[in-house]
Amino acid sequence: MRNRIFLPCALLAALLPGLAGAEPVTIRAADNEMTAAFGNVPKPVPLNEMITLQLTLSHSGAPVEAKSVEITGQRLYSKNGLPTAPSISATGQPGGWRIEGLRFHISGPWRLTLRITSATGVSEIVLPLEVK
Amino acid sequence: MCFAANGIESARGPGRFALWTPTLLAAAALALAPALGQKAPEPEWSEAELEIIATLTLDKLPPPPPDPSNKYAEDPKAADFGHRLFFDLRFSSNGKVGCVTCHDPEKSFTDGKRFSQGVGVTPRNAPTVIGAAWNFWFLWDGRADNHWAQALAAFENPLEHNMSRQDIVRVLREHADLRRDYETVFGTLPALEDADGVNRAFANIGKALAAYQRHLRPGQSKFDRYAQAILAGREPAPKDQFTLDEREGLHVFISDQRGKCLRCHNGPLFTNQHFHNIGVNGRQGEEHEAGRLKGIETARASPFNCSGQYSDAQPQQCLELRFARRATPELLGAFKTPTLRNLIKTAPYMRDGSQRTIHDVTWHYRDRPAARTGASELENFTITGAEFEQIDAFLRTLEGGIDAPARYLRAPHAQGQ
Repeated sequence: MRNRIFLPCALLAALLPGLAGAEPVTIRAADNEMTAAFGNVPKPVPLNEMITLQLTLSHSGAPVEAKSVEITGQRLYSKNGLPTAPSISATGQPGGWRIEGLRFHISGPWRLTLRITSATGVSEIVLPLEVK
Repeated sequence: MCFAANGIESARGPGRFALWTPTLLAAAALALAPALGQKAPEPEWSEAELEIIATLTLDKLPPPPPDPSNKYAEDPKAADFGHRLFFDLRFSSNGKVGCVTCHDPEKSFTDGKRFSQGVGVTPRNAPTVIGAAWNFWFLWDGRADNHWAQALAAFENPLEHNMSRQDIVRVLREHADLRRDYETVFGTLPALEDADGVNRAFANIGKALAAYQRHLRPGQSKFDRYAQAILAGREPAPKDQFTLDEREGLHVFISDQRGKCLRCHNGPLFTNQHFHNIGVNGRQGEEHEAGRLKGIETARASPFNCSGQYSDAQPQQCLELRFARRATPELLGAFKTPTLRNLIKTAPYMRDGSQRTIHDVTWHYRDRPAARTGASELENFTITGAEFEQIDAFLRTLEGGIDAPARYLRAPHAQGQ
């Protein structure tokens, strides 16, 4: 049974180059209760290509129905922010969000910050990325 | 045995001078080689630097990306028609201006002027169209979101071609050769009273021009050949050997602590395709140009954008338009980052042609003039004047000419045939 599950996943990874170099990343907010689990963060993030990230937000282990999620990005050691205005929308899955239209136009270290407003208040999740 | 750099310590025993002499001679040769006009031994490039260099070579440039907004983009007949249109002077109010007027193949598809001259004098220095097929946005302020819309803007600009779209269709109708060539690709020309038909024919002219320009790509340069050699671990050919200044210039260029050039000038075309304010202040009286801040709104409002009715794309394919940044302070006075390939024939430089030489360009970054509109992004550089000169030397190694079918670099058969 396990092989039947793994084989399609391996085929999927081989057929979808963007996912082949991606890995799941989980980040906890400073308040230690809000968590963002990113399912497919490219490693490294490609320079100047539009990418989509999917994530699941949870609070104290349970999916969060966030009221809003705002996203900003900053290239470290420079004044540069994101060159595009990515959209972030709920996927309809519990705690599920999709970020579309992300692009990084300068290589190097970036910080992607999600500001999440939910019934429990406002949390910030910072996702570090390396763009090459 | 231990050989100290100052030669104090030495091997004991007989023959110690025989051991010292070649060492001293080698050290002397190393120090004197530049003065003697010889190439110094290759400094070692770090793994990180080689990784960066690999991203800059032309063999990393993929084929032109698909343009879903232009179904004729890969059509050879459309490209041939676009080639004829590019050199044709009949699409101007005075019969003397064509695309070639400001985009001359002999000058790497620029015109050598500070401010380009069409029917009138424009406030802009003409950028090259070599490699334009890879652009995300078009024109200095990005007011066109696709390649064919860029051409249309020039036709209707009163300082450039000074034509209305009806004028364009009238010229097509009145000249048998143009009518024949248009209808071969696009079908029957519309009547002048058919406003939608005229718009569509106008868009088609742009699409043919874009199809032609997709064939214009930068050629292999000394930098590309040098980089390919060192990445393969072999010695560059003698003519591709970098001088000390060129090598040091490349070191500084790719350093994020020193030159910081890659922040804007990255990838095989040496542009991040984005908009930056670097304190280039434009022609006198036009210092308050909004740049991209206004350009994106013009693009969004255009009937010829990717999501418009004359585009061949589905709306969900128009990602640039959909995710374009708008109404943020850093866009004020920001203009598109140009390519750094083929600079030698494309002087003067910057959107206002204010920098006459490559040296002047590097000095602009050293001097960091304040922006009169918006705020300049330029940071303080911790590099010396000599290092700015070395960047100049490196930039000249990006000269590679044009990789295009030879017939596309000259005028087609005489007009009217």
